[in-house]
Amino acid sequence: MQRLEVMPRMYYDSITLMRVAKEITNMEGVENASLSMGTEANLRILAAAGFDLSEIDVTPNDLVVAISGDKAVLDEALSKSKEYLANPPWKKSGGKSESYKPRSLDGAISILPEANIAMISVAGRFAGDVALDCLHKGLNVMLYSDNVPLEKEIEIKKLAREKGLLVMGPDCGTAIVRGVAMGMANICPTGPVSIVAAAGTGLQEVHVQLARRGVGTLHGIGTGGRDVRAEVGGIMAEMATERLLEDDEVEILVVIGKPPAPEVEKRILDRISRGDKPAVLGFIGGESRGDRDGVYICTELEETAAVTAALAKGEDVAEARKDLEKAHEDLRKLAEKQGPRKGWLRGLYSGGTLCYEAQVIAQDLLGPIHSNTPLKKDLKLEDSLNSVEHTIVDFGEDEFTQGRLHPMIDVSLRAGRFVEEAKDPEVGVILFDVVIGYGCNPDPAKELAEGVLKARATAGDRVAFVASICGTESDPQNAARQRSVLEDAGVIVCDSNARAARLASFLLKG
Amino acid sequence: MKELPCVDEGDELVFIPLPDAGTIVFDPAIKPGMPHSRWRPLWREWVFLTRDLELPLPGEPESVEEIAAMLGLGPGHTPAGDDWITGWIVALKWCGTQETDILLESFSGLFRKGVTTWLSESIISDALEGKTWISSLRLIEALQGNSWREVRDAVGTLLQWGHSSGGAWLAGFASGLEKALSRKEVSV
Repeated sequence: MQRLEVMPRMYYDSITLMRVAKEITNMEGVENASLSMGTEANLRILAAAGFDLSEIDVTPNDLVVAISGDKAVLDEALSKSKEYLANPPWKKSGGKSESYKPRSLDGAISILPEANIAMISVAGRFAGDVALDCLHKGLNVMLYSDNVPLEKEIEIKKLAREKGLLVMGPDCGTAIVRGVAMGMANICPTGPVSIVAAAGTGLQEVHVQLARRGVGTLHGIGTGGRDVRAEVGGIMAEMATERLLEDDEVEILVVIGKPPAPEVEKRILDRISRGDKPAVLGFIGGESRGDRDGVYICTELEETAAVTAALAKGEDVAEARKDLEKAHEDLRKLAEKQGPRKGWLRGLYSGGTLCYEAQVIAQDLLGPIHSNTPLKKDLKLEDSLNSVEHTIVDFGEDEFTQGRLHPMIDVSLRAGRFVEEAKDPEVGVILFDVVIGYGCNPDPAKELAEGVLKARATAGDRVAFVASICGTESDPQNAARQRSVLEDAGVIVCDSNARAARLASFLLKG
Repeated sequence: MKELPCVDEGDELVFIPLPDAGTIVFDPAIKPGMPHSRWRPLWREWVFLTRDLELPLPGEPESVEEIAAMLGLGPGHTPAGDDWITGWIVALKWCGTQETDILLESFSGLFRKGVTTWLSESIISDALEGKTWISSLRLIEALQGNSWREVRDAVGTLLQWGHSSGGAWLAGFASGLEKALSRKEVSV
């Protein structure tokens, strides 16, 4: 049985919705509970979970409460969810803090007049105007919000360039300023490297891979994934590159991301070549090849970190690359040992850049990969929840995060998809990322492992699960503990996203 | 003490001094002064606390009559309307002008006994006499200074007062400040 209720024009923050849904799901007799805004994507997710939406009339501004389970508990579960929304049990009585938190930008500036950066996390349709306001007040901006229209991004960045201020984002999940992590970021040492990156998991992966090699990072500037496209023209990528080249504390500059528009790539390359410090360019799957004087060209995130670490430690870059090649050969042997799988690859990602890198690697080894963020337009999935042949889906895309938490915080959607994908007899490998650190789910491996175990109960050993963990042992979730939970559930955990994508492909390729 | 004791007229009150408590001196008088201009954006956002706390009060009442109409408005020992009015009076007493003194006189004329609870009546009467309680004096002191921690903590303490009393008081106080300072330069 199921119960659906639409609460018109009702808005709660996504964290509240996720927590209420969890509380309700934990009730005896409840099978599934979801509280989400009535966006098209969320309705598709509800339909895929078996809810009958034919009787409801809903708009994206309405809250949809959907509960399935024993008939006897549905009324109680529904009324409990309303009670929790009105008075969340996890909030302290009164819900007030002892110190006052400003409610406006001007109020915040009056409290902290020396502030020079603002982090913006409001609904995307308002975020652009808030960013403009911050720039007019002389603040650099970290624009955490997504769903900011492209035209607004261009307007913001042109103003920022005029004023000599940085705009990190939109959809900038991660930034590091003088070793201090902002947003979703990992606990890593501070050191001689500084990174310009798209926004999120690409930066996190290189940050973490450098830390694993004993090299620290001073700054990590996220520009937003669309910055290097021709429309925006790489305004922030160029400004950030310039700033870091001028910063005496920065010894090695790293620029990473999806391949930029050719004219943007050329400008960045030209500027770096004129700089007086070594630079590593890691444009994933990019066309540029061959190191040149002081500029090292890489095409994968781990390779970028390995080359950078070698430079930082005064080691031979060629040796670092050879070590990686050997590691890749070891993965081939591991695949043989695990036994080849038949059928299709299904990738379920939370990180956009990690998803992109996985597609580049898998496509090279397996052929065309379908996706909601495909490498080629003709490989775009018609329905992101309906996989076709080899498919890798980015669950962090805007379509999944409107009125819903990002999958790095709420892993339930992906955990549920494991079961759905494993039911398909043509699927041989399921590949996924686990991103930890500040701001991420406090224990993602637990829920993901539960999903894996449910899927394995259906598919047995027919489906191999391969993952990588982007995080460190110092992170609140502890990468080693996360790894052990996943391995106990039968997941093969690799040391980087590139290795996981490669192993997944080797398992299918034989 | 979680709530006020129920005392009838004629009851004898006995105060037992706490051992080693020493002498506590508190002067409730509001001394005329001015807030630091730095805090203006901050108090301007308090005007909207009534909206954030969903209090049944008008956003920014324009006239003394509208303000007097808020007497006794809302539930509790000190209805939200009374809290708002108290904050408004305290602000005008603190940094008001001759013009705002006339406003207060007009309000006094409209302030009839029996319109609201005895506790509110007493607090409003004290405010009209230029007296207030320690938490609000701490805020006044903080707003005259330059320490954001002191302002933040003083406002935080006020917000802890009652279910919504502190928020309503701050909203009225902010409106009073805006009124008082509209014809006066804010100190720098």
